[in-house]
Amino acid sequence: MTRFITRRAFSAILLLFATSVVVFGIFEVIPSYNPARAIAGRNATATTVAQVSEKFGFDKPIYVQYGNTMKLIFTGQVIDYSDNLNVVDQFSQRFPVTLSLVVPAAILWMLAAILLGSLSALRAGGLLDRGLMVAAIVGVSIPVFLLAAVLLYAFAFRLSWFPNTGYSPLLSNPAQWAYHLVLPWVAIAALSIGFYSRVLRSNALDVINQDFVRTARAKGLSQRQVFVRHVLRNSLMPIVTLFGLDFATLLGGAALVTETVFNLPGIGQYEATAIGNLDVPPIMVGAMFTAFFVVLFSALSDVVYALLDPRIRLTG
Amino acid sequence: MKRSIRPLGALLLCGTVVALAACSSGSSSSGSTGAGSSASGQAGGTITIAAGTAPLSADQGLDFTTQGTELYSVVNTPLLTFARGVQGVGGTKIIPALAESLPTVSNGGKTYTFTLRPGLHYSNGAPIKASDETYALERDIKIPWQAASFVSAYIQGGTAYANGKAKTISGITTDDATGKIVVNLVAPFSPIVDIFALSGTAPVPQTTPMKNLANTGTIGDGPYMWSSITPNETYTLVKNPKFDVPGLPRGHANKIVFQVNSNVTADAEEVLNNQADVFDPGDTVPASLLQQVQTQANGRYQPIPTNSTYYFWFGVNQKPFNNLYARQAVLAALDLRALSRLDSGFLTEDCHLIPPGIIGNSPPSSCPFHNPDGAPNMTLAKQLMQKSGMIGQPVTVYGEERSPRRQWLDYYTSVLNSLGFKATEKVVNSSVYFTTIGAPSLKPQTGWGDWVQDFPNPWDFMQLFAGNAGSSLNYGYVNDNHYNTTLNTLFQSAPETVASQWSALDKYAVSQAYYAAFGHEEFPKFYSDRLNFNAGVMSVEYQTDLTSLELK
Amino acid sequence: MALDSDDRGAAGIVVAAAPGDPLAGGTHPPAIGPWRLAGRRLRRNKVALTFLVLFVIIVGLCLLAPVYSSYVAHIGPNTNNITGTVDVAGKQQNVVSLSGVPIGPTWGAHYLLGADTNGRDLAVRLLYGGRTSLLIGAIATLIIMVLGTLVGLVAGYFRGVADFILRPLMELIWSFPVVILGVALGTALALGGIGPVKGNSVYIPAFIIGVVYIPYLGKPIRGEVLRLRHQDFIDAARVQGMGPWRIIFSEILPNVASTIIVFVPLVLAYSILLEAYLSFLGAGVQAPNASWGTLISDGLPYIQTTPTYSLIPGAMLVLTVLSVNVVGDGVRDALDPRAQVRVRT
Repeated sequence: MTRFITRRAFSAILLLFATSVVVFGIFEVIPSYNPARAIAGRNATATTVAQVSEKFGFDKPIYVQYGNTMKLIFTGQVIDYSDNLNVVDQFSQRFPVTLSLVVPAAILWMLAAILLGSLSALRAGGLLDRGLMVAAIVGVSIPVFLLAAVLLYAFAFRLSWFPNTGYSPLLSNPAQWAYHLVLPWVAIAALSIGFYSRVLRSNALDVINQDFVRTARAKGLSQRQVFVRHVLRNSLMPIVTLFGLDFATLLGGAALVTETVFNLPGIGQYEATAIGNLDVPPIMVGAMFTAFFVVLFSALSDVVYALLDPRIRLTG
Repeated sequence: MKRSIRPLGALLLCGTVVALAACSSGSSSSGSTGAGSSASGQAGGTITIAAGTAPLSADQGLDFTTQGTELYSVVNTPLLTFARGVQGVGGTKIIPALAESLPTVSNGGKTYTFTLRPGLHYSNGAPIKASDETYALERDIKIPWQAASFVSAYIQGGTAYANGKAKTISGITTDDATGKIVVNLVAPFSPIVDIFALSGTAPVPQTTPMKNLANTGTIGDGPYMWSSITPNETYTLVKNPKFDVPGLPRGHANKIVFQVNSNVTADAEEVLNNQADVFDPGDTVPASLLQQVQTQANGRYQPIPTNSTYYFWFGVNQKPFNNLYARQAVLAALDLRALSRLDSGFLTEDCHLIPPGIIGNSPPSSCPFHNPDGAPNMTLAKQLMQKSGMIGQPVTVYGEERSPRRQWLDYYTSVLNSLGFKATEKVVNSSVYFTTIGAPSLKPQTGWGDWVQDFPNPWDFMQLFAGNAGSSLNYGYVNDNHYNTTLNTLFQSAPETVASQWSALDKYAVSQAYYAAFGHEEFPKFYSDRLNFNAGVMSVEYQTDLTSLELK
Repeated sequence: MALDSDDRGAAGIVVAAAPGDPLAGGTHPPAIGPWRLAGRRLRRNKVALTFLVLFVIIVGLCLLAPVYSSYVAHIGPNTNNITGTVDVAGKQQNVVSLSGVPIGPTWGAHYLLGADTNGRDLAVRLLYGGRTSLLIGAIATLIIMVLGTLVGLVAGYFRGVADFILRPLMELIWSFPVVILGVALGTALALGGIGPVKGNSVYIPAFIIGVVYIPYLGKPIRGEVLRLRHQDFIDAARVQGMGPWRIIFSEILPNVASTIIVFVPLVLAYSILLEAYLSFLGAGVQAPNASWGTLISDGLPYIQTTPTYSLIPGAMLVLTVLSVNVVGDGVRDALDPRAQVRVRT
């Protein structure tokens, strides 16, 4: 177990380092990229620009700048170029919003997938089964931003069942909080439910045909008991792994676009604005943040996998 | 030019934000909403402003954005100020504020002497001293103020202080006992009076730290003072009971709350439904709501032209725009109505550079090639193209990616193509746009540009095409002797005295087609029905003049 | 969304096993080669065939864009017409209103699907944009298939140094947030271009998409090669004196061929989708050129007044990607009817 953890930690650090270098490098490649001038303002004279340049260290060689930026990031002092805000503060303020978006959506899709997948496995070939097949393949074909825009148009503008974008904090009013998030949750969950149900269904069917299940039935357990206790437990593993990776990439992808369309002040929106402004510090922090989650979740799903199946050993 | 921070135009579902500088009402439209014609409204109360963009900082020593100016100009009163309570060109008049009178000019225009009124106090009760002014200007350079170059470039000793070679700005001497403030300039520069009317130059107590105080703002002697600030969210002002500058408006509301919500559609809906009082003019009413606002809010909504100009510039040193006829053909072919529609109609079409709210403006009817409100003159354009011999020339056209600038770029490129050029557009990200086109190595052929006033002096706009302006302002490297000499002569005098000459210079440049200006941005004056619409003033300098807002 | 494939087993992908097919495998019919068998199965799959036809129709329409532009709409894809009018049911209407709102579908020859803010014909741009989106998708797919296969083969067969470099590199690209990477690269390259390629060339988004998805193919190929290299026939070939490259291309490659073929439609679908994402965020196709992603993005501010502006390109995008996915399913089914969704760690 310790070897597993150390290996994973080591590769995580490498990955974060590589990510930060790549992001930093991408922006240095841009011609005319001069954050000092952008910060100083349009009518700044050469003197003011030089002052800003010195203050932020833009006149130093690239690797020194990189080092300074990384130092600022890890001491939590890094400032973004557009609004002069502390990036780490912004991330910690905005992270709860993104969590509010992503976690319930994930729970929704997993629960729905398990339920629907189980039902369709038990009634293979039936209407639900075929419906899910269609849903799965359609779900993989629609980009999140389009679904989000359609939902917004249909249910918020046209039918006015839901509010027109915006976020309401959880603590002040849970009902409003949920009300504002229903459409974003649906946008994210809808695309994955079909696929995940199909995965569960196929694995469940695989397991159902195995000897030990037949034995359990023969022993007199009801179909439901057999299903839940034996079949489900063994078929959860693949979707757990899938989920881990999906959830992590969700933070860096679908969440970004969904937050933009629904105007939710989460980290995705912050990153999207930063990219538009070529504002390197938030982009670096965002990329590292997401990469970190990818590694974390892939490690976590390995652990869960091992827990669910004692035959698997964590070999790192 | 005043900066404004804008959200990512391409992504926002709800409307685009084009935030620009202070405004005036056009000379033609100012008649209808005369300011100061207040039916007796009530004093007191709380007024909320729904804004889509926050100022960069509440600290006037850093910020030079339009949103910021709107707010701290009622907190930090400078030595001079622009007249309040007046909509339109009248709002460009400079009057004394903390100073007893306008400065005396001596030494061939290089020395300006102010006298501080005696007995003035900050909102915390501390007396205002003459040396506080020097401190404030040094603070501007240290932080630095976004317009710090106004101080360092024009005032003697400013550059040395900026470079750390001097402990203080040597060109300013003050005497706390008499209240005298003597400012020595590097060279005669009459717009310096405008600069001393900017809030960034307002004196501050010498205990104020020389860094950006975004969370608290600073202390000043204005009709209002800061009550609380949550940066990028809420900015709250309350009446300053210790305001003691004579002759300046005190304001009506007791409390003003500037609430930031980047969802501009929500902001507009709040004002429409009277849940908020003022739609911040720095934002644009989203296309999806425009119709509703125009009908439902009839009588409390009016677009008002501002002191900003959009234009296309030409690289005059290389083909094809080194040829006069080629440039003139563009001016003849541009349909300004099309450009206006791309801006959702919020454009006052005009071929001149100087906006209608600045002295020296010219009436749009004097545009030489075609009426800016009407169809372009394609016949003339085609003839000019023939004369120029530039048909078939390849042109790269530069523009920004934000809406509507990208759409303007698309349109402009298609016009160039219809004239016979082989035009391709190059979209540049807004964060690097001006550094890209201003890079000395680029020598671009043509592209989009804009200018928002720093202060309402015609020189502020016309200087863009001076031969010595540098590539970061004069993207086309225009260098015309007549233009340069006239500019240098005119700016020595107060603008009112040479207004017609400024106008003539503008017309000259248009006839030479050094720029293809196409209009001035209009800002929405959009209030809830709790406010007295006619009493509220959209000021040239201050946008929503907070001292003019009053409840019915 | 990420469909992971591990590096020890076969690619785990979504498969819709055709309903009614026995899930436990039956016996193969004798005396017909596996490829012809696959072809026969594919031909019997009505659903896949229908969508294949749909896909071909869409591609055909998009390729006919210049014809539509010249003969039906009489306007180019980038021709502005902001102050123009169009005849709708006998009345002349503004193509773009005074406050900048473009007209909706006229269902006539001019502005069939409406206009955009610059007065351009949306139907023409839809077709030209489709061409661009499909072209980028195709180029990216080519890049991914060639490079991904190569990387997988080299890393899997040679192991050692090659694998030591390639495997973490693939992990890095795979773990990198796709959208951030793609958008950052897209924005940066759109500004400066790369080498001789100009900033607004379609090769730039194609290149970015290609790079981002190489591990998607590379990892499973590597896994398969790892499995295969220990098998007897490879040892036999080595003993016969075949050089490593010859072994790779004549022995191993044919055995991973079916995996590769199965991946083509998947990769194409993902490429088209990612291009839409990038263009939507402004980092893909640059103005004034259109792609389905840019059209959706441009139309969003008008979704209340003119929903067709965004929704029609959106529908085209979904239909195209859906067709590719269904055909891809059909191909998978045809090559291995017992294939199921399976993901192993």
